[in-house]
Amino acid sequence: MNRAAMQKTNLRHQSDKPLLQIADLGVSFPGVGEVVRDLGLALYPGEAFGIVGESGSGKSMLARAVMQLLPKPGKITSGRILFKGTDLANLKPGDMRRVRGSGIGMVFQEPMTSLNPSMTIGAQITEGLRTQGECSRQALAPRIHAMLERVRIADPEGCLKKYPHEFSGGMRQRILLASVLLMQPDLLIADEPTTALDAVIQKEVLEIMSEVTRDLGVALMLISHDLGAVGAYTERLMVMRKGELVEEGATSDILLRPQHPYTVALIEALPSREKSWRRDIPAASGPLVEVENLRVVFERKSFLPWAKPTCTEALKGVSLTVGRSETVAVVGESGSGKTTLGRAILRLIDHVEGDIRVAGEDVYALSAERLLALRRQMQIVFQDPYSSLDPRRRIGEIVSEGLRHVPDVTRAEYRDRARQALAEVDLSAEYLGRFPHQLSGGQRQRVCIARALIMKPKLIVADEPVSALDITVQAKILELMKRLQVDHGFAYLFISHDLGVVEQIADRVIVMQAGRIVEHGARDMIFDQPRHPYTRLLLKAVPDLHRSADASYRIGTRAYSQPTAAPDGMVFDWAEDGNDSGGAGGAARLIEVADGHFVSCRPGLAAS
Amino acid sequence: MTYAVKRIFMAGPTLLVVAIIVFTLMRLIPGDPAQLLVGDLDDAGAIERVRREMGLDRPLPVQFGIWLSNILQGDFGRSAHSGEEILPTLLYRFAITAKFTGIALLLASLISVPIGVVAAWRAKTSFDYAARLTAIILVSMPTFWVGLILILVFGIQAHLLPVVGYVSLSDDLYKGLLYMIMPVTALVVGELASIIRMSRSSALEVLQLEYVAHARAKGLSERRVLLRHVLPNALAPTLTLIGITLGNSLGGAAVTETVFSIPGLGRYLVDAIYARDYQVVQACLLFVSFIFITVNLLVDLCYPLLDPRVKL
Repeated sequence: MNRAAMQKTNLRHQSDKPLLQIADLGVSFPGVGEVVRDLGLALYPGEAFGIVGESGSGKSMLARAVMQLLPKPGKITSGRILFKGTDLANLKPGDMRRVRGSGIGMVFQEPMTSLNPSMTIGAQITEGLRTQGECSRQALAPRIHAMLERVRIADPEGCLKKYPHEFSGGMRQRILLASVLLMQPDLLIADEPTTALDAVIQKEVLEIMSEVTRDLGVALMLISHDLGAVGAYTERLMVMRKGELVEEGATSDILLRPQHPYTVALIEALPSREKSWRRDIPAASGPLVEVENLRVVFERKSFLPWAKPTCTEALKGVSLTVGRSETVAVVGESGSGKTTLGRAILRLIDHVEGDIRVAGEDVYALSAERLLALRRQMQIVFQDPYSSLDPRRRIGEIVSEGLRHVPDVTRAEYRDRARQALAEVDLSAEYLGRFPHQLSGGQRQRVCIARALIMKPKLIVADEPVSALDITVQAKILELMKRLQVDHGFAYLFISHDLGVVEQIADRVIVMQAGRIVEHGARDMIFDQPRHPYTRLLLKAVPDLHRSADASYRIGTRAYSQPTAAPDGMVFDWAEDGNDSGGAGGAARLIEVADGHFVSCRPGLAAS
Repeated sequence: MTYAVKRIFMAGPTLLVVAIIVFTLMRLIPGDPAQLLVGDLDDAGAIERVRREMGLDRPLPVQFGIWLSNILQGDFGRSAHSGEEILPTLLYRFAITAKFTGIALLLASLISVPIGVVAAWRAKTSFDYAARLTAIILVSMPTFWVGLILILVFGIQAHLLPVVGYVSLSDDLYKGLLYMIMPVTALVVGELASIIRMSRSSALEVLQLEYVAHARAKGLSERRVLLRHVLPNALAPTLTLIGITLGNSLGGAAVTETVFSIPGLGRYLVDAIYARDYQVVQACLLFVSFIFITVNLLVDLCYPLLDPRVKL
């Protein structure tokens, strides 16, 4: 990694005085207890320091304690936070204000709420700088301009006059970064700065952040649940769990030779191809799902009855098949249409063009009665386990509800069937009488799976089923989904933006972009020999952590030395710089480049 | 089509529907206006003549059409009782009501929005509890009751303020203000509670957002965080409430006006109802609805000033 060279300078730390030194820090919430316990760390000028932990590890509270921005009624109960020799834990609010911004800058997680929607970008940037005493617009303008260019904002002048909602999430995070760095802090705390962003954007933001902080000599404290991201951009690393320090050391040491069992568990939980399951897929009687040339257009009606509605084409002619007992993963960034595809197959969307056949029946031509019968065979598991369960009903009712439409099941059997279904997802019968809010995220997702399972489905559409979960929980759910498929032989249509998860579970992979399929093929084919430039871009954006033969771990990113070549006489319909070469103007179509491996291309100029 | 044009366009049909409802309601009331006008003379000929004069013998849709087209030309008809033109009286009465309710709501907003925001900022402290308790007490006191108590204490027992009546501000500024104190106080008390609660809850929501934490992390003073980051964003929902309250009180301060004998719009309407003055009731109802719709329209049009995400 680019930071690897910097590790040599680690030696320097012995002589340097730490910039931030935390000792015996305790943070607690009345009624909740200690969220940070006896924590100590030292951060040196100019270094990049990572803090990794799952939810509830206290990593965010640690950062907020440093800034004295703990949410009420949280309090620092013990310890010292020495920043350049001053103890921040006991600083008066007025003095703390001088440290915030000028001494320590902070970047927050949610790009959608981290900028004030009612103020222009320019006003928000300058109000911070004004607290430093610099007031004249003329003096500030060139500095602001230069910094915005540094974080690669294309039109810095125009940007200042705009409001936050006019920018995408990635751009907002870059603007936020610029506004914080403009105040010339010695330390930048970034609390999950890219968690809400797509992988490609995430990589871009992290790279800019890493590059600019290094150039300006600003120390970086990068907080994340994502081992890969933290590993790639930091020199030293600390692992936290339940408010306590688990392991600390050079990033490479921790990732390659973890000492603490929890760190090992965290790394082992990362999805990888080695953990995928091989099983025999019966080569039986035709595909389970056939989708042909599916088009979905969302219309937003104008309020004038005669005016044309605004149309958004969510799916632009998608064709695919899912075999019985097969796991097909649909990968794409937000807005690629992958969720729409899953819902269209279940007929959860009303107006579509094209054919969808499940078990040989045209989903959109069925009578209401037949549709109900078919729907029992197709179940869905949603992304957010918090909003997909009715909070007023008990788990037993939630799981068995679908049975109402199954003939020949008496009410007396509901409880037994629900118990069986829960047992299959490793939840004991005592959960039947509980309410969703009494369960953890992982347990709720198990309930969602049980709810699908009780219908004995042939197809389960899983829409980002593990992306809201912590990494160790995610690993367990994936393991469970694998076992259930082996036991029951249903097919998964697995929708995800996470290539790591997809690499572990998929038999075949479909890569989607802007409402169409750009590449699809067997899992190994897509991950080892991606042909389409968009697929390569996605793959390059995710850090790739693998276990080597000697039980150590290897972190890297995929790099492609050769530019990808389109099949003879064709050009790709997408290029990384955003320019579609257009080819000879022919429509894009999927070309088979190897056995079962298709890539979307247009006819090239030479062919015409 | 922009949001503003859309909202303005939609106001038209809404008013039409209101006009139809008002007209229909008036025709559903038992009793014959012509009979009322003629009085107790049991003279079938006279009644018939009045009916023809008033157009009551025509089919209802035609009556409605005539009424509507007259109103569109600014002719609200004449009072069946006094015979004077309705519109000038209506506007005069409305000006009085608008003065009282406008001042009251302005005061109520200026007092309660800061209280609400500070209560949210100092959530779960004694200030917050005190503000919430006050709000609960205020909301449980009906306006007319507050008015009567005020009259009893300050007017009858302490002799500090004139008890009832109305003096125009342009006639005598000092006396006019003196007469306004009690009715305005009664109105303010009625409006404080809901605005405090609304601004507190929306400020509480905004305070948890990351841009507030970001503003603090920039080293801004708490004052600036509250004024520039919390207040403008918490104001949008409160503004809607203020708009609805204004619309309501412009047309419906009848109780307060009755208690204090203020010749406002509400009193005009109530008196007309007692007098079975159909023309006036009809005109008043339509006018009140018009004011209500217009105020809400204006509030909606003000939204983009507070939230640039709303496009006009």
